[in-house]
Amino acid sequence: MSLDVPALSSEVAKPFLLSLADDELVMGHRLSFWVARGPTIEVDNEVAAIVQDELGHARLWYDVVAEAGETIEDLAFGRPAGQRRNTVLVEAPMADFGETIVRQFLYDRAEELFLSAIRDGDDAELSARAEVALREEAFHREHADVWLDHLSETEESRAHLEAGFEACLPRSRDLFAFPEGTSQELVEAGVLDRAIPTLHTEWIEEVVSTLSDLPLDVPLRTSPIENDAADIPDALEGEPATNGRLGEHTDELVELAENGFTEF
Amino acid sequence: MEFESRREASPEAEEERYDVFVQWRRGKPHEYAETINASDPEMAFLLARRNVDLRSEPLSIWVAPRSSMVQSELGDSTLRPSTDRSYRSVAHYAHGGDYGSEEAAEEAAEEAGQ
Repeated sequence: MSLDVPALSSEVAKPFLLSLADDELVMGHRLSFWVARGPTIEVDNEVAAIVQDELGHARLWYDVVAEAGETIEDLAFGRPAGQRRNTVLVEAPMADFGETIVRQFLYDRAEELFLSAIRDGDDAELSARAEVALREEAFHREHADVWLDHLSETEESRAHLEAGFEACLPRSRDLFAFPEGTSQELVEAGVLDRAIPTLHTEWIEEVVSTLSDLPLDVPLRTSPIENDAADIPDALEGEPATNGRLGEHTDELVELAENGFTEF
Repeated sequence: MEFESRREASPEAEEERYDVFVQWRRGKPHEYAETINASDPEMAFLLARRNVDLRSEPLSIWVAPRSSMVQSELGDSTLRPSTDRSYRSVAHYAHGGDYGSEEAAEEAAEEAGQ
């Protein structure tokens, strides 16, 4: 059955949707590390449910961009790292539960914004798929909120969150760093209802607002303020050192792509 | 966080047992579903909702700390009638109305209990 997705006639639509699918696939894969390794069995089950959601969302987007003769598996497991477009935020293997929660928080907030912009866009098929995925995002949001809150309670767990932010903030700089012209074309094609820089601003506002409610010491500024107008936290908005949206990746993803996602 | 063992990650002293009750159909009672270990009600509720079978579409979920429930002890004698009331059951008369005979009463009570 061939799908009717007029927005895909835009040249940037497929790479953009692949970026989202790659994000979900790598995030879901990395998160699956915690299944049977979480603090309790109940938490294992909870994380496993989110893993299923993320991998399910990856399928939604791979499915919609797959061309004749191309399978979801080809797209998910058969592409070398250089062709992948996921953010470097999701690439590192999981090792620390506090860092995992921070990574989920930063990632899921961005994902929710992309999905809401697609849902409110003009392409009926893409909008319907975003709507399905968004139904599960409310739970991911609650998961991050509850865990951030709980891990803010002791000195030890705060240290893990703070280290998590320190590691994740620089890697989240490529979340919205799509190639020049992508944003405008996506809006014109009806894939998104608003520009990517607008989503980026919304994301920064959410991150800053969440952080201001938590008793954490997370410096958002890496350089001194030069004037009153410069109140944009550069820890969030600086140039990405490695931009996954351009196909640049860390060795951790290269390895994962080479082994076909068979190892952690 | 990296933990040497799960036990270290969640020392018993800091976690409590929460019993989870689920209503599966309109008009039906909430049924006991499972017990969750959690640090507080908020976490218990979050974990409960992802540990029950969502594909069966539960209507409503309750969690309550087990410690907040007042419970009877096993074999509590006040949960049984104190005097013989087997004459209240039809089965008692089916045995020829042998009212008063202990044997008949016991037999009747046994049948009524089945």
